[in-house]
Amino acid sequence: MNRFAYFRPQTLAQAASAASTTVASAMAHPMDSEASASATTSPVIIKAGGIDVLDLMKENLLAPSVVVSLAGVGGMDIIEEDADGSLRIGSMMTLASVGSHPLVAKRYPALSAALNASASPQIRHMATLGGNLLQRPRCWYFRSEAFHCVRKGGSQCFAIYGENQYHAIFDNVACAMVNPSTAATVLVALGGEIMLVGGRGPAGNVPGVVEG
Amino acid sequence: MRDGSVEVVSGVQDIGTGIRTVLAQVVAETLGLRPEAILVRIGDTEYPSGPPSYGSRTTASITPPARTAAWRVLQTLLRDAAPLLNARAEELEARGGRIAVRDTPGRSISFAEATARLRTDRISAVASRSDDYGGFRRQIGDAAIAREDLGGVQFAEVAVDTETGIIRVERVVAVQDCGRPMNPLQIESQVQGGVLMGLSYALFENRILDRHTGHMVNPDLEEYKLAGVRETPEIEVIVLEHYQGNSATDAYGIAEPSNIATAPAIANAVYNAIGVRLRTLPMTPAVVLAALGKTARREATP
Repeated sequence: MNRFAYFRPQTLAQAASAASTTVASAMAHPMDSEASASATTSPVIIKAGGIDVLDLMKENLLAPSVVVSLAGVGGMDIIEEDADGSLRIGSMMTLASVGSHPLVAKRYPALSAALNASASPQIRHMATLGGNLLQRPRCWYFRSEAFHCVRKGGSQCFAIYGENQYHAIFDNVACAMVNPSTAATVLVALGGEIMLVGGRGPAGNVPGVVEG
Repeated sequence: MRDGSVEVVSGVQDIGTGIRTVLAQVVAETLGLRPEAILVRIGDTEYPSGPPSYGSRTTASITPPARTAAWRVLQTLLRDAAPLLNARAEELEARGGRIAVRDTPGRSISFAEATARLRTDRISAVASRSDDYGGFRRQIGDAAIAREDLGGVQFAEVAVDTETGIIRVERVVAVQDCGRPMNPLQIESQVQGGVLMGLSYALFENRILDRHTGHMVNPDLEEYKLAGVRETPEIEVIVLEHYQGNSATDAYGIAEPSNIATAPAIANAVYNAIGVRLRTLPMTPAVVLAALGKTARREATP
């Protein structure tokens, strides 16, 4: 793993102004394309539970100079009930805490069931809902340093004509990988919305779940 | 040692298969002590060299010299203890933590009383595998550890879902010959491990290579499927005692032999279940469905 600075802001505003890009766009548009075929140099990356970000760093697929941890930002690990009966789930809640929450189990049992069946108990207690939705796909070409695929700034998808038994069978012309998030599937089915806080504009609601 | 303590020192290592326990057992038996009274020091290159912990040979290789060395130490101890019991060394035996005159109950001293009167601070003896029974050389080469080979047979009971192609191993019975069983609990554990690994490569383990570059695309535990708790069948282990006069302990290796028969047993059981022979490993659902003619055979066996 490369050296990196670690920043632990206390507020959402500090975190939003520190982070300049997402993991997805950092990997798709490497700043230093002369570097190794796939390790991506990017300035600032946000980390929640760290399940995927640290994997990407250890696999030499992502080399941030600064890691911004959201662990110190308060108020992002709670569930609130809105007046219309819908739930507002903090992105820093772990999969285990969302999955076992009585309101979620009562109102959206499919979400509970999906989260409680995700990954393993250790991961469910560390991974956050926000990080789960933003994790990079589990395509083995994407995850291998040996393949400089289109999602890492390359020019082709190796899965389309390669080993693709676990890949997308529809809508796979540019890239055949599938969204790996168990929560995403359920949230799309339930008509979930994501509320974003970004450095480039005011907070807003995004219908549906954004790309994987 | 003069204080009654006993140490076994060897460069052998314990990779989780229990040689530390077995060495204590072997030495304790010879000295008439409990295994917990023996301090086993292993895994250091400063110690007398031991066998590597691979090739199913650790117990077979290191317990004979441990027993021989313990026997040599005992002879010196009995010699020094004989005057205390007004007996000749040949009349003495070590049993139940005491040095006793054989066939004469009551004429005995404790092991510690005997060591307290040692002429030297300690008695030590070194023994080698080649000291006994001609060592491990035999005509076919130097690598052999036994005069005769081991045998084993396994039975598997499987359920095959002909709709999904999923094979579930319900039960495995493993009958294994292992020379003299040194520690039944450890042997059973090793055989269970061998069965699990055999089941794992029979049904799951698969190196998937990119057809264009030859790169393995699943070189991690996320993508490389191993059998886990959910796939673990009921495993019944039956150990056959088979004495061949191979060494001072007559111990044999047990690890790899128990791994050999599992996959063939599962494959034969699958054949009996569905009537079609599967000739590739792993026997994945895709392989099963293809064999049943339920799907176009596509990338089932990369």
